[in-house]
Amino acid sequence: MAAVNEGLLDATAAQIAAAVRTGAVTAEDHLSRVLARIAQRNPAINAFIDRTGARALEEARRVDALVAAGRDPGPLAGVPYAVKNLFDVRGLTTLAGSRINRERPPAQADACLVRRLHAAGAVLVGTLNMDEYAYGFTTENTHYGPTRNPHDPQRTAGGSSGGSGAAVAAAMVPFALASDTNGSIRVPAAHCGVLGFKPTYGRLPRSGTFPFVASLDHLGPLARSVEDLATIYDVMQGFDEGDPACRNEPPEPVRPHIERGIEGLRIARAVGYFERNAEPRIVDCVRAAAQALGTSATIDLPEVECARAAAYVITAVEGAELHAANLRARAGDFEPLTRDRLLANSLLPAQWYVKAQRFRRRFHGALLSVFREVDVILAPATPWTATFLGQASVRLAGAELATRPATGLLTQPISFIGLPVVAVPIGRIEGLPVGMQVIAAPWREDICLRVARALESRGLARCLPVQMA
Amino acid sequence: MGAIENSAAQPEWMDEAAVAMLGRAAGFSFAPEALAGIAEQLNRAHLIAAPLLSVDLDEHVELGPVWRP
Repeated sequence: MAAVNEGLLDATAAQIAAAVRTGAVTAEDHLSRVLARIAQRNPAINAFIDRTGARALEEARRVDALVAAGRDPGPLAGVPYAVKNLFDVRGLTTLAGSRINRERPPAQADACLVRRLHAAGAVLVGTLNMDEYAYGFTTENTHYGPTRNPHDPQRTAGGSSGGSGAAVAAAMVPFALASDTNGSIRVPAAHCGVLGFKPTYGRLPRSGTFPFVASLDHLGPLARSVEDLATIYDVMQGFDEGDPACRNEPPEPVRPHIERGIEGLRIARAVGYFERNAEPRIVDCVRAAAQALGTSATIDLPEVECARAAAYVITAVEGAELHAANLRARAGDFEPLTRDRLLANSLLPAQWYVKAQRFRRRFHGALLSVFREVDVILAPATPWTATFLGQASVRLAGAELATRPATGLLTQPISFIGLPVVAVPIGRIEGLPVGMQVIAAPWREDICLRVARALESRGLARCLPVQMA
Repeated sequence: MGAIENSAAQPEWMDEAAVAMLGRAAGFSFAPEALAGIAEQLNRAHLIAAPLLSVDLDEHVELGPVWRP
């Protein structure tokens, strides 16, 4: 059994759950090996902030007891996972990457999605690093240290969910939960070479998570297989009254549909803005992925630059409003890398914000029209591959762009209107992963995952764990 | 076109004095050494927001968020 369990350290969630459910390994035995791997690998990566070993042991033993009793332990039986540290975990203070939140009392209850994963048999092993209050794309956190990219520790893991991306890429866990306001699932997925899934805005309840921008915040998983994304997503679906934006409709399971293939789907590659704002070699990778799917169709989406501007404004104003009291009273306790930006955002004109929200309605209408012509849009996830830690700017098409805000240039316009997206690794440039967004119409997560699975089955979208000493 | 749109053509939307004044109006008391950094961020925000600020919206169709009782 020991040999089986050792091999499971790099396994997908589905493989681990199958082994636990059949009794090939116990959840407790697998957990002990996972905790040892985290202890070995995390110091070089700094993905984990808190570990929840005692809780994990309780959850693993509960699963083993169910298996021993012949009862169903759930589809994620004994699967270890971790969450970005803006999810409430009972007994832990929800830091959201900040120093200020250390003064808050421990959470009294788990976040809604953590409760649902517990019910499905998953085992929570810890919380993960992030940009302070999710404001950033690099997980360079002054309070808790930067998270390093497992593919190159001198580079960022992306952000703001860099801990989630790095933990999955380094095979410390098979999946992690994260949030995405402007790209915070898709950017670390792309930089770390794993899959990231941002469902439609309003699909997954955010109850029990620390917010950033209520108008734009989404939750979702990162994992190393499409099957895992679908299974995890399915067990997390369903209305919860704790989130006023959550859609009150029955779950729409996607796991049964991912093998349906792409026959009949109209797939187009986004050009225009999405080509101008990405390095040519990244555009080439997306073009090759589109060809692998048998499409050469392109589409030039309207007013994308305005959408990015509007997302930026909404983020700035809602984010600053959320922290207004602390910004006035104790600005010095905020992350030095974003403090000036938060203070500046506190002074933006109210008219900008209202105009951004009004423009959102127009852009939403325009893209719904586009989705009458196509089913799937392919676009690069990031303008460049992972940047160096401390790298303030990147040169792109003759312009010098600030790394922290501009890394989200290609993700912001999509989350702005809440479209479902799977970020898929589609290649490497000089050893660094390249990610592509697979985008569908609202509430059509099934289509995103079918296309991602088709890429996976063609040998693209492969997430091999990074081999570390 | 209003003052905000007019200012889009100017390279520096905010200087340190303007930041200090705006800050006071919003209830902040910025340290003098913080003003330059905040002004730089405001000018960057203005640059990024420019495409949005120049868009004409239909006042009958493109309403803002609607609250429903």
